[in-house]
Amino acid sequence: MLTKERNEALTRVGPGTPMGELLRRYWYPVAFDEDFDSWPIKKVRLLCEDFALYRTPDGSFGIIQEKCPHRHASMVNGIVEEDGIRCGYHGWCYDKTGQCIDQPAEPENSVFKDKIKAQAGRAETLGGMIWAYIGPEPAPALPRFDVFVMDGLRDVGHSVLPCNWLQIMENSVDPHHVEYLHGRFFEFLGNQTGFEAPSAFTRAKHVKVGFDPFEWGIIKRRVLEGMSEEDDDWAIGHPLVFPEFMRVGGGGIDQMQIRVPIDDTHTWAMFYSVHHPEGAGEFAEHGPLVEYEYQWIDDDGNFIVDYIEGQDVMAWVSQGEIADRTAEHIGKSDAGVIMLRRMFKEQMKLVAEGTDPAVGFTREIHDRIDLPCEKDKFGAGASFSFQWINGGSMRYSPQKSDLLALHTDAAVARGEPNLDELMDAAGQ
Amino acid sequence: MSSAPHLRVAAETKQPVRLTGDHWWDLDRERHIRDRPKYCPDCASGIEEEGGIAVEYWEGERRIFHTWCGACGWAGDIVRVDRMIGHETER
Repeated sequence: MLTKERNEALTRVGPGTPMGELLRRYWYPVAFDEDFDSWPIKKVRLLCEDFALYRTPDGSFGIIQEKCPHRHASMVNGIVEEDGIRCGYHGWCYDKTGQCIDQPAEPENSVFKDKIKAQAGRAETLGGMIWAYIGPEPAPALPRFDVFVMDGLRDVGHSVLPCNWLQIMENSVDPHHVEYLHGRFFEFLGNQTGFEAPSAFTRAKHVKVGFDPFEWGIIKRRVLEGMSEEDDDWAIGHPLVFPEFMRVGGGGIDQMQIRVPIDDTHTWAMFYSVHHPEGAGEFAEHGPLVEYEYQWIDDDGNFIVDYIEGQDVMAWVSQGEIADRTAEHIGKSDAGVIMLRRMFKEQMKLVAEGTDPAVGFTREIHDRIDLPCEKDKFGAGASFSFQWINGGSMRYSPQKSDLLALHTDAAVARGEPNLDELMDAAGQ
Repeated sequence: MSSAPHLRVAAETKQPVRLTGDHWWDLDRERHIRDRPKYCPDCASGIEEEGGIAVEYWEGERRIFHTWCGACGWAGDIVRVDRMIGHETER
């Protein structure tokens, strides 16, 4: 239970709010590289603010407030120049820092342009996506997390969800939901409608859960019935990466779940997966990224709950646009949620005091940041990849058959025993 | 005809029905908010004034407020106790 004021402080992300100021110290993906194949400017919304994201002829990116400071026409309908963007209305031109560098209709000797600076952020590419930073300078380094730089088949399902980003993040430190939402509920649904739910989830019974804060967020650990602390799920676990990611993996798939706070009541929820099963051979460096929208609501307005991420979306969205935490009843099993709320408050205070956040933030340039993440998920072994592809958001992927073929060929190359059994169990 | 759940709760507690919220648990919510710790047990600063947080959770019958003080950094669980029960250990 929280007071209304605490709930507001934790969920409002606009400029000038305590959480909005904290979140402006981090980078967010706001578009895919391929979005700019046919047109070099795209409107993006981030943390309650609208921007024009643009690609200049040298292939680099800039991001600027959507409304031109002159008379507020949209820069999304602007003209991209060598070193910036020009408003399509009267031609005021801004460089990548937002400084106005040309006002064509003003007198030639005017210094008016020197007084005009638009709000501009920074934009960089990583892992086939364009990332934006809209906070104060100097900008921190864009963290090059392992999933975004590793080689393999890249597959990204994404959708805009009508809910606050925090309730999605809280789900990432809530291991017990797996047992019911993806286990018992999945099994119940399967029994009612005639399909077999993935066994890796239906047999997940928690004996113990643990949460350890670390420099990038919170490591979540679990011991399932029949397993021990020696198993990956406890010994390694997987992390919530502060403030917008969760890193998961298993069966030759590494995934970063990304939750971009568009505004207080909308989140761009992505599942960024890299497939590189052992035995699959070499992959092209920085290979193409396949992106697609996963479906979470049907034509009648009902949640689509017959796959893992659809079940998660149901739980996130059905809590309401902003979950009412003044009326919740949380227990000991919600320890991770409590830890996360405290971590957010601690980091908000650091920022309010004028210092950098201490979690999930770096000014050091890294080639690659490796995150701890279990490989043998739920002890399910090789079958986990088939279950994940068939029973997760990847079922909407246009390259689903290629993904299944990749994992099948890799299993054959590894000499995986009982391959037919594995694939039968996974419904392939 | 039986009354709606929120009206029954109100009658039992002899409190007026509040119509400002649309939830049957409004009265419960108010009680829980009233009980939260307001001052740090270590430095006595106001928990919320200093940017801290108190999150209530349940463990069996116990209501526990996990509390972090934004002023001094003290963190811990504060438990509301209605009845002290002692157990004599075996000798």
